[in-house]
Amino acid sequence: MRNFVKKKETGEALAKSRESAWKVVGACLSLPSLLFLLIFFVYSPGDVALRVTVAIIYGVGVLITSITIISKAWENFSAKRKGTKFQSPPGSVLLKIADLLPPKYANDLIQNISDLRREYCDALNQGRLWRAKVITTAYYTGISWTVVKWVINRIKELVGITPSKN
Amino acid sequence: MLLSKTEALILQIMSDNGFKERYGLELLKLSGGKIKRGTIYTTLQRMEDKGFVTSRQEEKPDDVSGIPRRMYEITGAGQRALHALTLIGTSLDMV
Repeated sequence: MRNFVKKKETGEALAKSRESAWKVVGACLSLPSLLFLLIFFVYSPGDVALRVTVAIIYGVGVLITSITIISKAWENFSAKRKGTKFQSPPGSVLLKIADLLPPKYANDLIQNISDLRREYCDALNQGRLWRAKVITTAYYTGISWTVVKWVINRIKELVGITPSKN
Repeated sequence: MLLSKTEALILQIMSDNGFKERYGLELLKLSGGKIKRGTIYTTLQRMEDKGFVTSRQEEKPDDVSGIPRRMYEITGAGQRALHALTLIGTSLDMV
């Protein structure tokens, strides 16, 4: 099976460019955040301490979120320039969703994701990139359709109509 | 217990190929497209609840990556159900 490059395994040059990106982004975003604090402090009603606290919490949250998003985008951009591409295996998000499901449904989903990855990697190893994309689309469509049918059957049960089997 | 078309097909595939343990993707390939990807595991789960198949998690070495597969095997009850279905089919053909 093809090994996927993990996002944490970056080279020294990439780590340095990411550090510089953080400094630039931090400087850029701190100015709008300070502006927001100023506007909030001057124009919003209520207790001064409350206004300041809310403004700080909101500002910090916006700052952290923005830095995270921009640093990830920068990381991918730098990697692409160096010729490597970071890619999560297909079905990674679905695996996280499977952790939240009851065991019966989680097992179905995990097995489907396992098959998806095997077929996807087989196609990639054969150099058939389009087939890999078609396989991913087919599996996602199948899983989505299964979910839709399950929801429809549950609605039918609630309404009093006999649900159809697969 | 009644067998659906998909369940009968799965039991048929398992018995045609020497009653070996099979995983879901293998059954899909052996069915020649008659079984849909989205329904295979739901059907296998239902069959396991009925007692027609058993399953176990594949043992995976630590140095091998990937999600371990679940292997399915037909049980005695499954074989009897398939045999009964075959007999019914044969007697209906004779009528």
